[in-house]
This record gives sequence, C-alpha cells and structure tokens, in this order.
Amino acid sequence: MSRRLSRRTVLRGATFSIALPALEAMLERRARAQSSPPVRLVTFFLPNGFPPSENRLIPAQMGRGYALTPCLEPVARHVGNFTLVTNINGQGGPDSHAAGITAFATGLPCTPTAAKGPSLEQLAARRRPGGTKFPSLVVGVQKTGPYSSNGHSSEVFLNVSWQDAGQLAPADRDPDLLFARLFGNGAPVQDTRALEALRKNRKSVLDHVRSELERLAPKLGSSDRSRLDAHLTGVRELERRLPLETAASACTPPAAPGKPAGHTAKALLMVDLLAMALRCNLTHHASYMYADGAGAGGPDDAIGLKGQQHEDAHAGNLDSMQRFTTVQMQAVARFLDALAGTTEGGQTLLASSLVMIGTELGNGTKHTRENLPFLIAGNAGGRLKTNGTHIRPATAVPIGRLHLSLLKLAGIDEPSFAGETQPLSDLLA
Amino acid sequence: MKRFAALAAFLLGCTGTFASEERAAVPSAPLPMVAPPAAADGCAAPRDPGPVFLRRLTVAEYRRSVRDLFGAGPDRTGELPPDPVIDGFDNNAEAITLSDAHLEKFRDAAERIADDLLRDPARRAALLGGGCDVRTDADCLGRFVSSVGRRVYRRPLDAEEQRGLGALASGADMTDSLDGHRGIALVLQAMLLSPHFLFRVEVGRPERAGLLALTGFEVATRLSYLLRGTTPDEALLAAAEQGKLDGADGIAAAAEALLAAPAARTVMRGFAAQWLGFPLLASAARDPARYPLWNAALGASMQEETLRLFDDFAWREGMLDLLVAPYTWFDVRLAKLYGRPAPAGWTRIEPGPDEGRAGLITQPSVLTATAKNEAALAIHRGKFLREQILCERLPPPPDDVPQIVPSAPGQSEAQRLAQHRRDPACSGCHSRLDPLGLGLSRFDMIGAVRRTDAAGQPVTSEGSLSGFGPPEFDGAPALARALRGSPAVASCLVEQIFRFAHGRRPVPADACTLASLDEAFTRSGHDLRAVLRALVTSDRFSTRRPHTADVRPEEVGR
Repeated sequence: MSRRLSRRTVLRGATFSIALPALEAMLERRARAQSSPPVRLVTFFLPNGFPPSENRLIPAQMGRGYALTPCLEPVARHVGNFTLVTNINGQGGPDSHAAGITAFATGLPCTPTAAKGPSLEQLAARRRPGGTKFPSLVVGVQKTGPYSSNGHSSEVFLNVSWQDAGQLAPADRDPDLLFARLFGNGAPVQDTRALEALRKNRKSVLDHVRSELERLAPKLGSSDRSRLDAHLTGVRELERRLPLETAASACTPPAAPGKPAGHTAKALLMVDLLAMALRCNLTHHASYMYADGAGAGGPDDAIGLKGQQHEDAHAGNLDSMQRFTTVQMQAVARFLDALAGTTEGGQTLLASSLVMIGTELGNGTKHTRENLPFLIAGNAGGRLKTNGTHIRPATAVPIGRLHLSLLKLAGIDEPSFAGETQPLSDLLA
Repeated sequence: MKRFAALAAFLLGCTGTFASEERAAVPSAPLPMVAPPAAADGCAAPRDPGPVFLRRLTVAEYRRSVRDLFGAGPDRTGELPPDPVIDGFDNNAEAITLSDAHLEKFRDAAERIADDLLRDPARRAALLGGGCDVRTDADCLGRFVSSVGRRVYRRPLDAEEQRGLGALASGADMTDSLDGHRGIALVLQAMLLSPHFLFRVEVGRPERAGLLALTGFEVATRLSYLLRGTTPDEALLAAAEQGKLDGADGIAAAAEALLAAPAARTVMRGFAAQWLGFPLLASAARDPARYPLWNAALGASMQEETLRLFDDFAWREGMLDLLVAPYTWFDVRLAKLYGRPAPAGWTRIEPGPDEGRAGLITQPSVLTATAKNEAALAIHRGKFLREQILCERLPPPPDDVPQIVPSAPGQSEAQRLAQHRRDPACSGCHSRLDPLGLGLSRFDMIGAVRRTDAAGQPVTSEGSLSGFGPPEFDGAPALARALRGSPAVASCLVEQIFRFAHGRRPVPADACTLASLDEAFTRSGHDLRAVLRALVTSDRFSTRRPHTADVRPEEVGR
C-alpha cells in the first residue's frame, strides 16, 4: 500500500528527464491513512483545433475497438486509459480562439478582457482545498506576449485557468521558476524552529494586511471593493496555506531542470514538472496549456517540425495540422506515462486521476466550435468506466455538460457548471 | 464627438456585410459603441469624471517604485505574472487582477526585497539612518515606521497604521535573525503587500456637485505615475503636504515641472513603444535563411531608432509630422538594413527617394512588429493602421471563416488578397484592412525594401484609405501624407494617450473630455505637452464620482 515511484517513469524518448524523487516514509504513512486517494483533476489544452476530417483524429467507429487514427498513435498505449468523447460544442465568437480557449476552461465564452466564470480545475480546487501545498498548479509553456487582437486582452488568448469571473489564475511558464516554487532551492529545510518562526512571522504580516483591508473597504465604492475583496481572499488563502507551505516536504526534490531547446522540448519539460508535482502530492488540481491557438505552433528546428500550425490550418493543410497535433499528442502520452508509472494505495496515479485533454476549435481550418473531441483520461478512482471507448452523443452537447460530468466523476457534487445542469449520462454510466 | 459617429458607421458597414450573408454567427462583439453626448451643452461643467477602476500597480510600476523607494538592488519582480495587454497597453486597470496566485508571488517578492535590503550593510544603513537604534529604541522605531510609511503609502500614516506596524516590528520572532532586524523586515513586507501600496487607493473627500475631490496626496500619486512612471518623490509629497495640489494652479505648476524633467520623456517613450506594439519585437521570429540580418539586437535598435524620432517630434509643435518625417536615425546594426556604411554612433540619415520611406509607418520597427506572416503582410499592417493609428475597432473574424485558397501560379500577393476579398464573407472587413496595408507592400518582414513579394511577383503598393473604389494612393509616402492630413489620426493619438493615462478605454461619459483634449491638441499645433497639460489640469484629473456610483454596469467589460 505504498506509493511507488517507478523507474519506468523516466520517460522514453525524453529530451529531458528529471531524476525521480525518492520514496519517503512519511508519504507511505499518508497513503496508508487514506482509504481512497483523492481524484486528481487536470485539464490539458492543445492549441488550434485538430485536423477536422474524420480518420485524422476522430475515428469513424464508435464504442470499443475503434481503429486508431494517426493523431491518436502517440497515445496508442493508453487507449484503454481514456474515453474519447466527440460531438461536444464549444463557444463561438466574438473571437473564435479567445472564446474557444475560455470555453475549454470555463464552459462559457469570454468578455474582451476576461472569463465569465471559474475554470473547471479552479472551481474544483475551491470546493476541495485539501491538504496540499498548492490548491492548484497552472502550467503554461509559452511566455506571455503582448498579443492583444480584435480588441481583446492578451489574457483570453493565453490562459486556460481562471480563479473566477474576471479573475485570472496566472500560469507558471518558466521551468526554473516552477521548479523553485515546487521544490525550493533543492535543499530540504530541516530546521523546524526556523520554519516555525517563518510561519509565525508570515502570519503576523498577513494579519496586519487583513486588518488594513478591513478598515479600508468601507471607505470605498463597490467596484473598488470588489478588487479589495480579491486581495482579501488572497490574504486568507495564504493564511490557510501557512501550515502546508512551511511543512517539511514529503518528497526529496529531484534534480533541477536543464535548458530546453525549442518549444517541444520545453513543453515536455513542463509536463515532467507537472507530473512530478502530482506524484509528490503537492497539488490535486492543475491545468496545462501547450500553446495558445492563434499565436503559437511555429516551426521547431530542434525536432525538424516545419510550418505554422495556425496559418496552415487556415489554408486547409491537413497534413501539416496532423503533424502538429501528433507532436503535441506526444506530450499527452508522456504525461499519461508518468501518471501510469506511479502507484499509490495499490493503484496507479492515473487510475485516481481525471485528465481532460482537448482544444478550442472543432475545425481548425474554419475556426468553428462544433464537434470538439476530448480525451478523458484516467479512471477517477474507478468512477470512470468507459475507457477504451469512443462516445459520440447523438445530438451535440454543450461543453459545460462535459465539465459538469467531470466534476461528478471527481466526486464534487456541483448543481451546475457554466449554466448546465445535466451531466452526460454516457460518461457516468 | 465625430470620432464616435464615424466609428459606429464603420462598424455597421463591416458587420452589415456579414448579416447580408445570413450568417448565424454575426460577430456580436461587445464593440465600443461610444455614443456622442446628448447635446453640445452636455459638455458644460461640472463634467462627469467617468469611471475609475481601482488601479493596481503594474509590474513595471511596482519595479520602479521599489527601486525609487529603496535604491537599486536585485530585481525581484521577475516572477510576478506579466500584466495583461489591451490595445497594446499593459496598464488597463479593469483587466489587471490580483488573484490568489498573484498575491503569493507579491508576498514572495516582498520577502525577498526586504531581506535583500536588510542583509546588505550599506543599503540597511541608508534605510535606517543613523543616530538611533530601531532594535532597542521605541521612538526610533516609530520614526522609522512613520517616515518609510509616508513614502510607501504615498501619504502620512494614520495613528492606527502607525501603531499596527510598530507592533508588527516589536512582535517579530527573531529566530531567523537579520542581526535583530527581522521586525523591520516584517514592516517592509506588510507595507509592500498592503492595499495602500499595491493599489492606487483614492478615498477622496466630498466636494461640490456630488463629486469627490482627490486629496493632494492622491493627486500627487496620479501625477507621479503618469508623468514619472513611479511613486511620488519628496518634492511631490511635500507639495501635497503643503496643500499646493489642492487647486488647479498648484497642479498646473507641478505638472509643468514634471513635464520639463527627463522622466516625462522616458514615460512617453514607454507610451510610444506600447502604442506601436514594440514589445512584439522581442519575440518576433524570422526564418534565418531568409532574414539573416534578423536578431533580437537588431529589434532593439529598431525600437531605439523610432523612439529617437518620437523624441524629436513629440516635445514640440507639429508632432503629427512624425508621420512624414524626412529623416530617420540609424546605428551600426541598422546600417545593413538601410544599405549604408556603418556609422560610428547613432546618426541621422535621409532615405533616398527610391526607398519609398516616409516617417513613422515606414520605420523598420513598425514594419517588423506588424509582420506576422509573409503572405499576409497587408492584412496585419492594415489592421495595425486601423486599430492603432485610426482607432477603429474591427470586429473579429466570423466563427465560420472560409478556407484560405492557395495562390495560383503567377498570382501576386495583391491579386490573391483581391480574390480573397471577392468572397462576401471576407470583404466586409478585408476591404478595410488590405487596401490600407497594401501601401506598405514595398517592405519585407524586417522592414527592408523588397522588389518582389512572397509569391515572387513584382510588388505593387496601390491602395486606398477608405477601402473602397479606385486606388487613392500608390506607395508609403502617399499613404503617410494622407494619414498626416486626416483628423482621425490626430483624434486617435489623443485617444491613445487617454487610454494610457487613465488605464482604461474611453466610455460614453468621456466624450466631452476627449473633445477638449482634441481641441487642446489642435490649438497647440499638435504639441504632446498640450494634451498632457489639458489632461492633468482638467477637473476629472482631481475629482472622481462619489463612491456610491463609481462604475456603472454598462461601463464594465467593454
């Protein structure tokens, strides 16, 4: 009944690999104490739509034993670990990328500046704050750019995590900084007296800031107060996390990451870091964004990838689209490998996870939101029983219903998500 | 006011085409349909100062404020999430948020800044001063809290704040000692995490006609972040303390001093860089086989070239002549691009007539920042001119965009775009974009002169400003002259300055203010300083709506 960090999970074909954290006795005790491990909920975003025609990604057959399509080849070894759900409708306009990306996250389209509701994993993190160091991790690969288009803010193109309506959950996009955030400077802090002092001092600072916020709020108007509320929420959250973030780590930190060459290598490195954080039980909720839709997906000389994903999609170049999606699916495979290669409480981490893998456009060429395919990976601790099948609802299903279904599968009983109240019965069978 | 009518007409034209195609997904964009004021006398005083979204310091403002408060030290802002970019600007108060994750990172930054400061003996001595010991002498600690607090909060502390911060210092757990200064570190951390530092808080005081008057310290903060880009210095705080910023004359005098200082030029360089999209230069990627000259250092030189030109024109009458400047600046890196021998340092040159250059829109910086795709240069450059130079807001492409048809053999870029525009689903917007951008067709992805286009065909550069009908100009100089003569360009520049200064887009309540800024710009013969003066001396700069009516629902999410 112990969490095993198998050497198998040093990933195949990796440009980068991180030495695995050593097993710690403390972790074993924790695993024994838990009857069933919490469901890890992860959203995994791939950019710019998949090749639209059938048999590039979406197989023609439904049910079990469908013929594997070229875009699914990289995840062939995991076919039994995910359910393919198609005929999901995203959200359109005013900008198809911004609305699609935000709908992937929140089930709703966006305003020019922000999302209209929380993203799936952020809502879950709020409902299950849990005992992890981080309530959630938000991982991006691209650095943000001054990419404002069509009157929209850069944020709605570059993010799939929103703490709430109008409230971004910013991503960690730098491997070194993410590593430092997860594992500190690499040296475990042993001095419990120093940790206690840190905790006490941090608490007094937060107490003081909270008292200032409480004194100030009544003097201001409602719009100002909503911003102070966000500040106060953040202070309370830091207070809540004080004992967690200054607790001695359960994981021996892995070696620091190297410098990736090219976008693909960086994407894989960020996958490794996220997987490591999940293994080390640093969080139960995460999002991962491979790239944004319109701006990214350029050539990657390091792996000999040519073309421009977005421009080639507009031009209907299906072969190029397939090449990009196939490369991106390798990051998915690597992530699933890592989860499948870790055991806790007698099952794999993948079995106790739920990973939503998808994109923002149904048809990358026409930039439409219809017929989005999703890979729902992991078993949600045994609740997801449809893995290995392709589910295609007879009538198109709004994406919020998929989100709501995932919340249910993660054991979070939410009456609605994005205004949708009916989960997908096919998935909850 | 004309600006809004023109915008509305354009938008109707653009979306109208989609509607006539019976497209279900007509862009129902929340477009900024700013209505004109009800009547001309709607502009009589006292004017509605418009909404204020509580402004959080941008990362850049935070960095500069920390530097100016505590002196140069390690930069601890690298981990703060970058600010959102809207219309090119990184200071949109509505879009800037403070999430839990932001706060964690601000907390980490505050801890590191305080520790850096107290670990460095020289910086610690400068911070604490001499003569008494904050560790053992309560009065000494009190004086320290009071003097640092006044600078960090940009106003004197009240008694409760003074007491609370003092208690924080004396109650510190000294285990992790900074030579006994852990308490001081906690005071600094709390201040750097305080709403009074992170936000530009404006409590104000009741004034006439149902408006709030800002306090002198609040005005000092507005002036300082607008014209110095950072926290108020001692001169501004003293002026506020002495009541000099309570009236229009005092504000005008302070503004005059700030406008004459070098910091104002630095700030407005920052404005120009964001307005023109220069942050894109840092991430621009070019095929090295096709553009061997391109690298990040060349991009930095391009930006400097244009900002030098901006400096030359912005601070005197005739700022709009920037659009038709007969010369430019170049350095050793730009020499190859201009086909000239390398100069010793930054040098003025006049491009030859065969280069087809004329002023701002033919600067390599602008031409590079607007180039996204070799085969669609005119589209993206047209979009830049419409959005940033003419302040037109284009609706996003429809949900169901037609597939782009590959160019036929022998077809030029311009011909391919023309074919694309024949599709009614595309023509509405692309008729506005392409014919304008075609004027810049003689320049490639890094702004060098080219003779053939991406399809290997001879370049043509005929286009039109209106977007319809026969060609109105041929080539960039003619396009630049047309823009120089357009009143829309002058109004747009004023609107961009408004966005930058107020940290938001204009709303209908701002129509009168914009009209008065337009007038000041025109009356001064197009002098940037006149716009900035008018901006800071207008009533709206020192007043705001009462807190019971700060932002109207329709003013959110535009």
